[in-house]
Amino acid sequence: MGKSIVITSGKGGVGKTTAVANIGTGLAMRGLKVALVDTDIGLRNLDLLLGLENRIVYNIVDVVEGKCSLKQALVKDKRLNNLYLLPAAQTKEKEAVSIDQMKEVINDLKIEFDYVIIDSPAGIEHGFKSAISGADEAIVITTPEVSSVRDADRVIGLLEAYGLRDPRLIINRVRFDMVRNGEMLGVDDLLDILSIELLGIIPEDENLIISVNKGEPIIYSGNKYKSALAFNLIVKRLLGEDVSWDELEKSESFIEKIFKIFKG
Amino acid sequence: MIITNIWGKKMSSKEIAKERLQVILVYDRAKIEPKMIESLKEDLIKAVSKYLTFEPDNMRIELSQEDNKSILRIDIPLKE
Ligand SMILES: Nc1ncnc2c1ncn2[C@@H]1O[C@H](COP(=O)(O)OP(=O)(O)OP(=O)(O)O)[C@@H](O)[C@H]1O
Ligand SMILES: [Mg+2]
Repeated sequence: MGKSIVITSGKGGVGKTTAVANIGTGLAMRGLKVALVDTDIGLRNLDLLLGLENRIVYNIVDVVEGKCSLKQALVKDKRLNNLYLLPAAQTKEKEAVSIDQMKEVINDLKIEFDYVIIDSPAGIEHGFKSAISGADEAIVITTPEVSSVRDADRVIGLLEAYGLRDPRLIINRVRFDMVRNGEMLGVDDLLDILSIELLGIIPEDENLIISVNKGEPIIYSGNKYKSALAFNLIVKRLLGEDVSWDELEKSESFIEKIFKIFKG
Repeated sequence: MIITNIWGKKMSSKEIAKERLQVILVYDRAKIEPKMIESLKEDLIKAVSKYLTFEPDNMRIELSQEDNKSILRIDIPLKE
C-alpha cells in the first residue's frame, strides 16, 4: 500500500502544480512507482508541466462517471515508465467529483503505486476538500509574501481540523538576496509565524519558465539549476534522508555573486 | 527601504511584514476581526465607568495565543 500526499496552499499561483510535477518526477527518477493526480477540475495544468497534454484520452471525471477504468485514464510519462498522470477534466464543473469519489480513486491508486501525489486547486472550497480527502499527508506551500502566508496559516488550521495532522511546509520563490537585505521574509521568520515543520525551500528561478515551455520538469536537469537542486533536496527529505538547507543558499552561482558585487 | 514604526524604531519592510502577520494571524485564528476589539473596548469603557474610576487611555486590550488557545487580556488600571 502506497502513501498519498496532497500539495495545497490556499492562495493560488504559489507553485503547487510546479511542486507536484517536480517532486513526483523526482520520486519516479529514484525508481518509485508514482501517480500524479490533478484535482483542479476545469483548470487543468499538470499535464502541460509534464508535456503530456497530447496523450490524454480520459480523465478523472470519466473514471468516476464509469466511462472508463482507472487504468485507462492513467497517462504514462514520456520518459519514465513508472510515472503516471491522472488528468483533471478541462470542461467539467468543479464539483464533478464528489469527496467520497475522490477518496475512492486515491485509495485505488495507493494499491498500485508507491506514491500518489495530489495537486490541489487554489481556495478552500469543494476542490480543496476533495483534494485532501484521500491524502495520508499534506504539504503546504507558500511564498514569503504576507497574503500567501496568511492563507497558508488558514489552510494549516483546516488541514488539522480535517484530521491531517502535522502538515509540512515548502517555501517557494525565495530570493536570498532580498532576505539578506531585509526586504523579504526569510525561512526563520516564516517558521516563527507558522507553527509547522519545514520540508523545503525553493529559490525564485527563471529557468522554470523554460522548463514549462518545454513541458519538462526542471528536476530532470539534475542539480544544474537552483530550483532543481531544491526539488532534489525535498525528494530526499520526503524519503527520510537528513538534508541541510545551507547547500541551497551556497549554490547561488559564482557569476550571480560577482554580478551582485558590481551592481552594489 | 527603511521605515520607522510607531515607537520610532527603524524597521525593514521584512520586519514590518513579520509584525503585521503576527498580529493578523492571532485574529484569524481566533476568528475575530481586529475592529471588533475596538468596539468591545468602547463598550467596556462605558460599562466599567458606571462602577469604577479609571483613565480609558491606560486601558489595554490584547489578544494573544498560548498553547493553541486564544486569550483576550484586559488591563484596566484603576485610579487611586
Ligand atoms: N520558484 C519559482 N521561481 C519562479 N517562478 C515560479 C516558481 N515557482 C512557481 N513559479 C511560477 O509561478 C506560476 C504559478 O505556478 P504554479 O502553476 O505551479 O502555481 P499553482 O499554485 O499550481 O497555481 P494555481 O493555484 O493556479 O493552481 C508559474 O508560472 C510558475 O512557473
Ligand atoms: Mg495549479
